[in-house]
Amino acid sequence: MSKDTPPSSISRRDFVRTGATAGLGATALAVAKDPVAAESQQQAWDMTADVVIAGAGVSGLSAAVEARDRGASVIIVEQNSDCGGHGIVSGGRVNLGGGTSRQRRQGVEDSADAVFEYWIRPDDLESRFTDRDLTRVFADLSAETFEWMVANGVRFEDEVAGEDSRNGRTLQWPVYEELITSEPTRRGSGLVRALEKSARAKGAQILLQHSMAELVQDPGSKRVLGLVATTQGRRVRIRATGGVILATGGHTSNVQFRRMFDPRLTEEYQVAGEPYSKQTADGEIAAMKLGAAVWGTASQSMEAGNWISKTAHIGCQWGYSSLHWQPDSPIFDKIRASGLTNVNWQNCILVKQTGVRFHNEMDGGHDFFAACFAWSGDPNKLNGGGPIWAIFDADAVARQEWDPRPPNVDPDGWFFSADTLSELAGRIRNPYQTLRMQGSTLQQTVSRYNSFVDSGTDGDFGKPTPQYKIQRPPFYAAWSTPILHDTLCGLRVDTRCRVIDLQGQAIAGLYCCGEAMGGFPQHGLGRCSLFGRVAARSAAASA
Amino acid sequence: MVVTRHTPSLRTHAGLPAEMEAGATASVEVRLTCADGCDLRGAVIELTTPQGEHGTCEVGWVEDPREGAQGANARFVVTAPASTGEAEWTVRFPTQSVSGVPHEEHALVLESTVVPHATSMAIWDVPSPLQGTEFAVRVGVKCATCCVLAGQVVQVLDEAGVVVGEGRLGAAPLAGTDALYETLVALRAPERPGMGSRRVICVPGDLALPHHGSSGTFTFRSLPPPEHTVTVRIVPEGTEASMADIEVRLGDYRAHTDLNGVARVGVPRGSHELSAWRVDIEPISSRLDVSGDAAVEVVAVPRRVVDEDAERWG
Repeated sequence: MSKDTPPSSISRRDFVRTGATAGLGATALAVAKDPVAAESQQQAWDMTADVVIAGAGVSGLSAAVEARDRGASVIIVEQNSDCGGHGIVSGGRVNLGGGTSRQRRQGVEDSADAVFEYWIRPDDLESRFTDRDLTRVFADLSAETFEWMVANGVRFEDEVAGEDSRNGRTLQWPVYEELITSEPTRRGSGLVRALEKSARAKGAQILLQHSMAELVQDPGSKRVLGLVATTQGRRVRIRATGGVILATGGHTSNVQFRRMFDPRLTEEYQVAGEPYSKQTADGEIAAMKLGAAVWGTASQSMEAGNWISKTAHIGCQWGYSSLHWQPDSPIFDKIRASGLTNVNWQNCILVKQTGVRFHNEMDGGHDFFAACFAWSGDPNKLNGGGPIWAIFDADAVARQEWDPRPPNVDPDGWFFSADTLSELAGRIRNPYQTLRMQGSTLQQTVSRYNSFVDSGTDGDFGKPTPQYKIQRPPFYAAWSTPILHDTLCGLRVDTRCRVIDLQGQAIAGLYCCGEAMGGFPQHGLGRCSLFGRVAARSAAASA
Repeated sequence: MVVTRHTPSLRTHAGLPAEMEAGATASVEVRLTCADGCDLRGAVIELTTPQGEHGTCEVGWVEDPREGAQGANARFVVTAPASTGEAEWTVRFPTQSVSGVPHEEHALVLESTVVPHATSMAIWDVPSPLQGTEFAVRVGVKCATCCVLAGQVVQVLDEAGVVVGEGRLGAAPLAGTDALYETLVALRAPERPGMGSRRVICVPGDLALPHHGSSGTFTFRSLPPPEHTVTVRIVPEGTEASMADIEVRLGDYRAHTDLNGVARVGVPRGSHELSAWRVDIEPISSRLDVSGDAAVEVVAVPRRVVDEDAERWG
């Protein structure tokens, strides 16, 4: 069980508010003794709410709904022009179980204890490094959060997925709500839009295109009083009487930040979910300026989990397997290309920016990623592995039934073609290509690979029975550099989602949830919503 | 009365590349200034090419926001000579009066190395020939600046450097390419089975402009003749798709399925890896020991779409 005080218990702030109900005089007395009120009187605020939330993704919207349910006024600032964050462009996977009504109806036995034990397994890398205090909270609130989602209008597919849909493995998919891209349907939109609708209906105020610029902390008490947001060049100071909740998403788009956990993750690695929204680490950075600790970093650097993927769609900037952008996407002008998909890696070789092969193309595990990250030979770029290019020929195009033209490919730096391999190498230009690929090198690489096709054995990297030569013009080079995805560590929080500093003390008035929070590195949106609710309960109780 | 001449100065603003391919053109821009601050617009600048030809250009005016400055300038387009080696262009401000003020001569020499055109090669349609039989490969050669290479000779050399095949590039570029001229070169497989390697060279000659040669290598595996026929039937499971025209491989021996999903592959006795793949089905792979004519059925299932969001449970 949690060793912290449960959020439902009466806090000091509840006591003050209870006292204030006695009458006006009592209220004035309470305000005078209330450090938040006293400190805030020294500040000039443009807006005030009990709970101020940075980020209108799944965790922020969940926090907003929960806070409103508890009577707190809510303002959300969202830097994007629409709600949703990464959640709206996600597959919508919701790992919540522990004995939901749906599980019971389908005869699936599950319990909070089973969920807990599943997510702390020592024999599994993804659960080995979890913070067990947070895992216990997740387990205890898992079923309840599922019912809460349903009560707030989230519709789920009528299935409980998974080969063994219990013991914490339960996965449930929301019903798709709106077009993000038609294939595959992005079910995260169903979760986001339902929560947004509920939050708005309950009175949460959502300020779009408002970026959190900084947190405002009282210099004396160190309590977080609110935040400053910027919009159209204007600064807006927003007071939070109960607390600020950081629901800003993760950090994978921030190269400097992500390299704290793995120096190899240099700038060439793109991020799934971009360019709809970026995982900029602004919540983490703002809190760290106040002394917040980062937590659960082993989860970010472990060689497991969904923090990186082999590209499934090549020749475009963003090739995450489960996010195949189609021209019908309302943001396709930013995406620019869908990519060539259904890749059978027997049809391609993968080369570094120098034009040399480096690994068995059929592999997609962490040995493959490590080989991608290995030094490319650029003396001026020792970290990161540089771009990875898939090289193939006209025969491969025919076998794959590809059409290597826009909008399937992006010739503006992510896809190239030429009549000969030597010319192809010379044409490759990309913002992350730090070396010129030499035509002779690529030609030698392909000749050697073709000899492996003849011999039936890959003498360099053990690709199982290389099947097809790369020989018929024209030849192609398609961006195939691994793509980053999940943020699996973040700010340290306690079981009430209070942000904890390096001395192990809570930073008063500051809460965190979602991908900005460390300690529970689950892939998907279940944890985002659940801990958003926990943060909201705590902040609302302090208002 | 002593006439004082002003001293102009020429400098390169956008110069020549260090190397130019023969016959290639490049833009040059020079800036002209007078130490006494004269406006030199309307002056004449001469250009002398490496071949000794002369041309003139009138000085104009440019405002360059990058430099935050104004100045007189002249732009030329120069063409590299057909012969390779060091080449010099002389830009000269001849003695002349500008706005009634006499100016001295000044000259600037621009240098570049003229190099042959680069060419590159592709070799394709390389089969796995039966031992001791005729086979052919296609060779294409491309000039980096898309010169016509029709009629150029391509030679194929064996491991000992002996020419074993020859062809002439065709009259028109291969369809679907920018300027890849191709030819078919007939060859003969070694009498013994095994891996072979050949080198292909093309040294273009008799062209208006000089070209570098290009080369490539290809490998092949000469095979023993088939002894038996393996009839492979691909049976669809969970799909209504036709199983026609799927390439079935037994090691290096190949055939395509007919409308009934049947392929007949001739193979020698021994153990062979049976494989087949098409974009809409999962790869098929199994090991087959062949000691006589045989018939096998393999199941083709629809391609599995990987959704990583759904795949990961932990």
